[in-house]
Amino acid sequence: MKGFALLLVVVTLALGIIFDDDHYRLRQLGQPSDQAVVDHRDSSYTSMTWVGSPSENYLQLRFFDKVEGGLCLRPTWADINRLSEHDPRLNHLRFTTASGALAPAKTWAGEAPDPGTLPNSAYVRFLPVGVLLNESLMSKAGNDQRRVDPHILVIGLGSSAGILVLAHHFPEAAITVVDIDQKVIDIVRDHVPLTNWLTTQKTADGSPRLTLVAKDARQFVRFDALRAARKADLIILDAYTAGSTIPSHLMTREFFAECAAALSPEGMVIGNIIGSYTGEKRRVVGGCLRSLRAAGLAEAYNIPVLGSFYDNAAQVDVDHPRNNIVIAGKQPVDPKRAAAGWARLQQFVPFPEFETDTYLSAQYALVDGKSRPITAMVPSSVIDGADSSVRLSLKSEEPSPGSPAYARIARTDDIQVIAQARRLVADWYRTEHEKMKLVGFPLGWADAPEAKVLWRREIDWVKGAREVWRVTMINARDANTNSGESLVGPLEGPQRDSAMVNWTIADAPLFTDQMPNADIVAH
Amino acid sequence: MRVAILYTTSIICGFCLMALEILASRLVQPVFGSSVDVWAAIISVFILSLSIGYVIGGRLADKTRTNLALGWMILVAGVFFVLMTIYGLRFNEALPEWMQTARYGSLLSSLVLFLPPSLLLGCVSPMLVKLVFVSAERVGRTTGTLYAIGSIGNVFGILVANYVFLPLFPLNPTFIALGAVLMALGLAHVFLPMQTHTTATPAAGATP
Repeated sequence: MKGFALLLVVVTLALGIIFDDDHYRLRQLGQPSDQAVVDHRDSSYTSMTWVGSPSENYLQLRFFDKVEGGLCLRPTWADINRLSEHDPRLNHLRFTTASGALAPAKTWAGEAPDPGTLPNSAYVRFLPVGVLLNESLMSKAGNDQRRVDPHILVIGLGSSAGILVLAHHFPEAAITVVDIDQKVIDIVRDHVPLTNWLTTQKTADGSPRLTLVAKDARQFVRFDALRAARKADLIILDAYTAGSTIPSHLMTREFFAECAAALSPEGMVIGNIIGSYTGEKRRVVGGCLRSLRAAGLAEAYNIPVLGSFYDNAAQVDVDHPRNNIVIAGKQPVDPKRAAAGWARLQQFVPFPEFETDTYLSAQYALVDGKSRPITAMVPSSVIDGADSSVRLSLKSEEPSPGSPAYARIARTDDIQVIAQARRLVADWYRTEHEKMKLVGFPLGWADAPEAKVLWRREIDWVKGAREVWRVTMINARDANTNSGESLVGPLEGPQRDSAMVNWTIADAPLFTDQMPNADIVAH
Repeated sequence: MRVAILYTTSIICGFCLMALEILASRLVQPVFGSSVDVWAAIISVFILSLSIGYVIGGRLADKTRTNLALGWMILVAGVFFVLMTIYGLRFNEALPEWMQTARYGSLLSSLVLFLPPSLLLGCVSPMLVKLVFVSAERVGRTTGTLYAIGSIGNVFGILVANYVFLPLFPLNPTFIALGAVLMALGLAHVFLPMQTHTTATPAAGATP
């Protein structure tokens, strides 16, 4: 009996040590097969992993293995520095080696990640909305985004991709980020040299360009933000926990009222709210709008982010959950009454200093009849570099009108071409897997059943930022179909003909400290 | 009938205790956030007050021969449930800024808010054992059944609080309703006296 007990202990320990699960998974359908882990850390709030793919041009911070924000690896900060020699518009991102700023923490696959300001995620490109819509700030600066000096409070750091978008377009912005987790701040400082450097820089009036604070946002807004010498012109709500859930105490009428008290008279709150126009997910967006209004931020508007190249400005898929930029303030924010601000939004060009057709990524995958990948993606160089006939036999897809045109997609269903592509992938793996630290044979390429289509996608990341902005703004300007009110039905009075659904804002939940259930309805 | 009443008492007290633990988070989060620190504070305070409650309840059970003290314990626990709607959030918000930290502030807040009611409910189990207790031969079975029933109450308290109370009802009415149930149960015990069985401690000279 004693012997059995001992055996049980030994076997259990052995099983646990041999078969323990990974913190993250890199071998997944539709993901690039050259992904590598740059760093992994755990904190008492989350489990975070920096994952990079040189071929897909990203460095992503994942929480519990879910992507919560990504930066493009190229243009690197060093690229921006070089561009700034000829383009004074980039001077505010220029470093000198004397300052010792460029010191990435770790080497990775032979090079150190040194991302610049270009984001790999769609919604963070829209944070400038909160500055461009601010009439008094913009007119004080002569409508010059290089001179406007907003004080911005960001709740939730993530990968810092959104902060870099703001820092890129508004050199005089003073940004404070409050994040509950010191370890998130540490990992971002270690792997995004540019973000770290911004904390050492000052605006013309002497404010730090970036301040990173580890604190619960509710406490920060209640105490620190109120004490600030100058009230915030913009509060950005972007705090999420695992599973794309907003912490419930940061989504209540009472919290929004505390935000309103910390705002300048023309200031506004913008929130990144994941939700849809129909189904359960509308309760989060609708509830957020209703609770913002109840907190005295009576003017509200919603901009659904059309980030996928399957999105269409003329015809939004209302069932699809997506990022929404919810705007609320005391001054009008809708396209009709805030016409000057919306004109600025229409004219805004994201990353005007970067060239298109320069920072590209291209991947091959085998897909099913509905273009869903049934393999991992393989860097295009693997196939194009070895045998150009594969690429030449692909047929280009016409992008659908009204969609953001930043990707070129081509495909073939020729069995012989597919077989040749599979051979090339096998060759690549055999010769390169050790050098490139590939985590295994590219998923599905050896054995994917019914691989009837070979698919090649090329993304232009600068064009991506501009096209997603352009298409989203065309869609958002149409007040009748895209305002926050139409999302949840008319605010009050008779239903407008153009309202998408007859679910009125009164049907959306009012999130209060008494019933703060944004974390429940999000499921 | 007597045993049924005592088992019902166990299940209701177990239910209210764990419902309070789930609802407690919503009183603490507006001020201290929703980190694991907050949960560590809440859970540790509940377990701590249970262990203190077991000690006090056990001693009290040996001293008394009726269910009167039990009734008062449950009744006062109910009073705390109801009054928490008045002082709960206010107490947290009134803490000075330097104490409003998730790590230590939430521990202090949990101690002040949740220790009294959960301690009182912790006293219930040993007192119920004394009341249900019939003979020394059956003490294992009796306590085992009581613990099982109390734990079933715990489970339902967690599930119902999470899936019914939080999504469907505001916080304060839920606290008040649970408090009312506890107070009614406490009153029932105060008004319906029960004696503990005395066969286990035969009086001197009472040999058959």
